[in-house]
Amino acid sequence: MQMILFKMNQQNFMVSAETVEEVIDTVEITEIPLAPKWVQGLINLRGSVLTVVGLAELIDLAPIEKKMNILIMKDEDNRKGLLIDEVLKVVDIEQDQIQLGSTSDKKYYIGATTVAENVASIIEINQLIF
Amino acid sequence: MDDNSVYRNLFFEESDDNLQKLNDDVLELESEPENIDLINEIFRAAHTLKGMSATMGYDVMTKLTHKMENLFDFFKSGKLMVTSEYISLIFECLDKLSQLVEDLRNDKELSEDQIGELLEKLINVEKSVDGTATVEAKSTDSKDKELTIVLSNSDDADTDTVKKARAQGYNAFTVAIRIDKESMLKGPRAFLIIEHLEQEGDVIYTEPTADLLENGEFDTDFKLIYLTKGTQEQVEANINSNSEIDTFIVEEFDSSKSISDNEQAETAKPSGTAKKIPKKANTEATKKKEDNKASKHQNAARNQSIRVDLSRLDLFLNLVSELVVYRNQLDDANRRNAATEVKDSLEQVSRLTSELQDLVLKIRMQQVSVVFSRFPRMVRDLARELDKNMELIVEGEETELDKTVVSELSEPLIHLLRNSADHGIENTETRRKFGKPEKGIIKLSAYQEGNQVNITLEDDGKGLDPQVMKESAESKGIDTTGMTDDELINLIFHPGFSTAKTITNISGRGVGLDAVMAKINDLGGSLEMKTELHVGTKFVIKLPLTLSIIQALMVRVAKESFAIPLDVVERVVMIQEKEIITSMDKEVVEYQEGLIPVVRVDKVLGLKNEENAKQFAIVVKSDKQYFAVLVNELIGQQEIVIKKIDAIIQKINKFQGATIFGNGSIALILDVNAICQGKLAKN
Repeated sequence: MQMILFKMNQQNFMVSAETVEEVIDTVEITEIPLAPKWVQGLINLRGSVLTVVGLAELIDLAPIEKKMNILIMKDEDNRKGLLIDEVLKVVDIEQDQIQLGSTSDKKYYIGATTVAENVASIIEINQLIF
Repeated sequence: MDDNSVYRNLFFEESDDNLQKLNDDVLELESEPENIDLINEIFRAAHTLKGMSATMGYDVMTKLTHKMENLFDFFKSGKLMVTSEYISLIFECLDKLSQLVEDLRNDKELSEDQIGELLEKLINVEKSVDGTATVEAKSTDSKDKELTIVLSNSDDADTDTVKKARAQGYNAFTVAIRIDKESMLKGPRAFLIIEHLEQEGDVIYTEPTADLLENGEFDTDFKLIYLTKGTQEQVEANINSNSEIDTFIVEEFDSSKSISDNEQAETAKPSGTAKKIPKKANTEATKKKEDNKASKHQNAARNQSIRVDLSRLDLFLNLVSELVVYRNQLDDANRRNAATEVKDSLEQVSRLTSELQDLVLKIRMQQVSVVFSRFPRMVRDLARELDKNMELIVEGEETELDKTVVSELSEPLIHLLRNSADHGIENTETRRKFGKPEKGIIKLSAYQEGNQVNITLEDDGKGLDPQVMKESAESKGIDTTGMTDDELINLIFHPGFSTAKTITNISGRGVGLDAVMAKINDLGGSLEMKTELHVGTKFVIKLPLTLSIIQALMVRVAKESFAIPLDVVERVVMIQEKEIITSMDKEVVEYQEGLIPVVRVDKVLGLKNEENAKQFAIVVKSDKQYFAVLVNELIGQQEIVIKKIDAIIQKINKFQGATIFGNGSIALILDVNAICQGKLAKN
């Protein structure tokens, strides 16, 4: 299956390309007063207002600095932005390459795999944000 | 999706239309039982409904429509007088039919049990009319009947035309054609057959009329008079060349064979009486003609509109608002760069975009009649149920509102109507005692006023008595000390308040007028009530024309920009920090000889704000109370497109949406009511 490989600080992560509608460069994010801390704010995506969620805040990682890309996640008719560090590339991996499937109590954690000698965590976060 | 699903959707839409039409017409029939045109109209709609359900193979529905149609047939032939009992029975049938259609829509199988009880009632009526035998004979489907060539009502003019044509060497034929009952498109089929014939001659008369034929509003048979220079064999060959024809008859035209439907039985009588008949037939024919003219007009109007999926319109609206955003960006950029050669075309683009935006908003508009049309029937039922004499007068049904508003309107209006019927209008005896007309009048009207639509609901009932309100409120534990009459009356909007002594099934279902108020507020509107004891009560609902675009006041608080809907803003005043008075833990400011609470937006939203010396107080009205909402700067007034926001942000309960500025940046729209009421609750 196709996966989008991206960086968060020094860690690598992957999400299924099926859940991602597009990848955009970070645009101006309008803050929302009183919103939960993992909600970064609102962006204008070609005339639609989308809520952007910070992945770092969502899964308790150290705050990121680069903030290069936003993944536009989709779930049926709903869309949300996911603020990440930087998208590296799209990779093809097979089911049997996924390891450590059931070692974490975190539901969004699917497992890990090795890409070009780097370990990447595969996550499924739509259930958290939609 | 199978092929039939297209027809299914069409079937549902047309069934809804026909049922609504039947409801309206039958209601009218009750007040004008002698109106033969109306009965014909009803008959036609019922017949179409039957034809459609039969085509789709919904037997249960066909059966019920068929029996109901028989009832109309009795009215038509004068065998049965129109009485309110029969009307009620018809309404029962219509309700059942609506339910059947709904079941079909939800892919439920229909069963005979659903209509058993009603069928029995209908059959009893038939029996009471003239024994079952004749009824059964009449009700056998035309499909099984012999195809006949007798014309029901061609008039003298047709006979004349035939005479003249014959003098010029034309042959005149009467043609009867039965289209294959399996045919899905009998309208177009009939049209093709006629067109085919007209290549070789002239069709001067059809039965039913050409309009009905083209719309497929006939069973399987139709008849026509045809003038041609060809022979009978040629005509037969011509007709035979069409497909989907079950059988047909071609005969030499004979004027004595055109006899009115009702007199059909008399054809057996000696020809001596035949002289009299055409005259009678004639008057009926002209009547029918007028009737047809009216329906022709209706058809034309119907053909000029199409049904569009609302989601496509939403998409269209989104695209246009997107276009508006980019046009504004272009405008901005152009102003900065002053590229003159772009300017002219950009102005045109600007104008076109604005027009496009106006247009798409207009397309989404819907007449309030969509909702209103159900009410006369409802009030009639209520009147019978409550045993009161009342009538609903509806005005301004053609007033238009955004589709989303219209579809939300029905529930609160039903509530108010029930309220007026139940609590407002008195029974006949009481009305007589007060010297009022026995028939109570409820008037529902809608009209546009500037950028909003007003809907008023007025009854000439007993009005609200402040003293009764007071007692009732106190018995429910509501504190009424020191309340003015006005305040007492407005207790009707208090949650959990109902003045009805006993809870009826009409109103007082535990949901009070506060629910109506809340709903109207949700729609961005307001609800006011005026009442006078023994004279009546009037509710005024004010609604915005559209929910998508509003006038807003753009403000800055700390470093953020926000939009405040202009309709809640009373006025804007500049105030100094020192004018704000602290009384206990509350901050207030003087306004119009009174003190009003101060709402600091920066505090409410948890924003860090350093500049406090000079502020703008936006005086807003929320739930009949003024508040001074403090902001740092006024940016200006502007028309904004409301964009929906995520559920997460809605939960904060401080914003009602977001909007995009010309430069592409986003501002949140403040939910002033929530902010002010939240402030109140905290204090």
